[in-house]
Amino acid sequence: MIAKGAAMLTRRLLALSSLLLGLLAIVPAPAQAVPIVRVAEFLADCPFSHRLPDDPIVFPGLAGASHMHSFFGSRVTNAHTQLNDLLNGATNCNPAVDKSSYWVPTLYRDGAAVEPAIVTFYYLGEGVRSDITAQIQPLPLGLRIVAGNAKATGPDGTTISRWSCLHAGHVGASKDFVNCPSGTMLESYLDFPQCWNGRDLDSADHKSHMAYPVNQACPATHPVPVPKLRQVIRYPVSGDPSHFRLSSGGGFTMHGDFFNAWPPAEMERRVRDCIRPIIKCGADGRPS
Amino acid sequence: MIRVFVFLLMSALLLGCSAAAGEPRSPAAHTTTPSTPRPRTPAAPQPRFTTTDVAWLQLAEALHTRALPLLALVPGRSDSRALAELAGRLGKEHETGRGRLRALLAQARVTGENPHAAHDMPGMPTADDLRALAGTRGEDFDRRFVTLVRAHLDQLVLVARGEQTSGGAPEARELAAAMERGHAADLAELAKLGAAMDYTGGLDRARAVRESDRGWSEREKGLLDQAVTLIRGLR
Repeated sequence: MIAKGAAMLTRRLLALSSLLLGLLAIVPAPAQAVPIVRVAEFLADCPFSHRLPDDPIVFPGLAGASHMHSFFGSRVTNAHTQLNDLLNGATNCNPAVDKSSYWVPTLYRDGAAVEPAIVTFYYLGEGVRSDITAQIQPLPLGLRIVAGNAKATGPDGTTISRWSCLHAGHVGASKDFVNCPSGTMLESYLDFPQCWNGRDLDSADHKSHMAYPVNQACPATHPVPVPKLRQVIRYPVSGDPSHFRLSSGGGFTMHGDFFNAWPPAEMERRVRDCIRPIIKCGADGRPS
Repeated sequence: MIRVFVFLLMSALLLGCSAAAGEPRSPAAHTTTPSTPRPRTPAAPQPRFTTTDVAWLQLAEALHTRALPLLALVPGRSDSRALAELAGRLGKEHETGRGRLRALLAQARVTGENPHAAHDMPGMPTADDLRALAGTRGEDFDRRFVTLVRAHLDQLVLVARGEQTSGGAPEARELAAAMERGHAADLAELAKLGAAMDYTGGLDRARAVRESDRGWSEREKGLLDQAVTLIRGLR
């Protein structure tokens, strides 16, 4: 009798607890509390703006000197562009406060230019130890960086950019173009260096003032940790990569140019609220 | 024994040097004393030469260098004396021009490999272009050659104009102006040759029509043949 009663009680308790657990799962989190995702990140979505054979970092003032570039963000960038032109010019970025200019070599399929469908610039706190993430400094206004190797003659150990397929992870990442299944998109990933020498906004080769971390820390030559810019570009193409080329050559010549024109207060707020405390933020720089 | 001592002394000196170079320098020290020579990255340009000057000097130097193998293909492939003469002159002009560009790069204290030389930039004949061209002869060669040289000279003129309006150092801008004049003259000559080729091509077609048309008198046929011979002689 006692044993039977105990068994019934256990069953009831079990039923009650599963009901409670079920309720907990269904009831939404209180509207006020923002779910924090522990990723140090903010972003800017900047679609294709225009195409020009110009490069205001590598060939400033020399219109037509460069291979063809596809520009994102600032609507005004050309060979003569300087910081004030960006700050005073229009942008197609979300958020619209980001007046930066971003550009890459143009992708061609069978000789016809293809512009990306989705272009996102992530600013990340990863890549360095968490105690260093907590000390990340804003990217200085007017900073110019070229990442990737436009002069590469083949995919090698120095290739930083990666090609993969959106919605077809099984294809895997490659240093050269990949064959994406029909219905998926060819995508390019490129991480910019995140250690600054603390002094120069540019350098003769447009790279030496920046460095990649070594063992999750910034080297003594480039002691200032800044957010890591990750360029993610999705092209509405798939299939046989032999149809593709970049204006700079093969897929392994993928590179990205960045001319920072975030208003300092906007950049600082995002570094303070998203990067250092390791909180995933959206384009508005608020937790997302 | 002395050798060992010298070796030790050298090692000690070297160690001392590298230790000194490795010493951390505070960024503030640089901002307060801008006259202090900065431990800059390789190829920090001499201040008188702007980024535009250096970019133009390097690009023009690379364009000159990459045109030399193109110009060298003419002997043995073209039947045109005029074209061979122009290519020879362009070759010499390019060697001289490259020397002047290199001299200014040295003045600007830009050393090391030219970053644009091994890379296909607009106006440069590609390896595929050169391979395809090397396999042709006669008028086919001439036509392809003129197209490639024109693209090359057009690009040199374009960037030389950019340097004149956007450059900084007077000597670089003056060289750009001189080069633009020289290349414009080359282009004019190339246009004449191109037109002569088109004219010859037209005459060849006229002669083909003549062969198929019985309406021509013997005198007309003779005149046309004379004209073709004359034009060919001019080229």
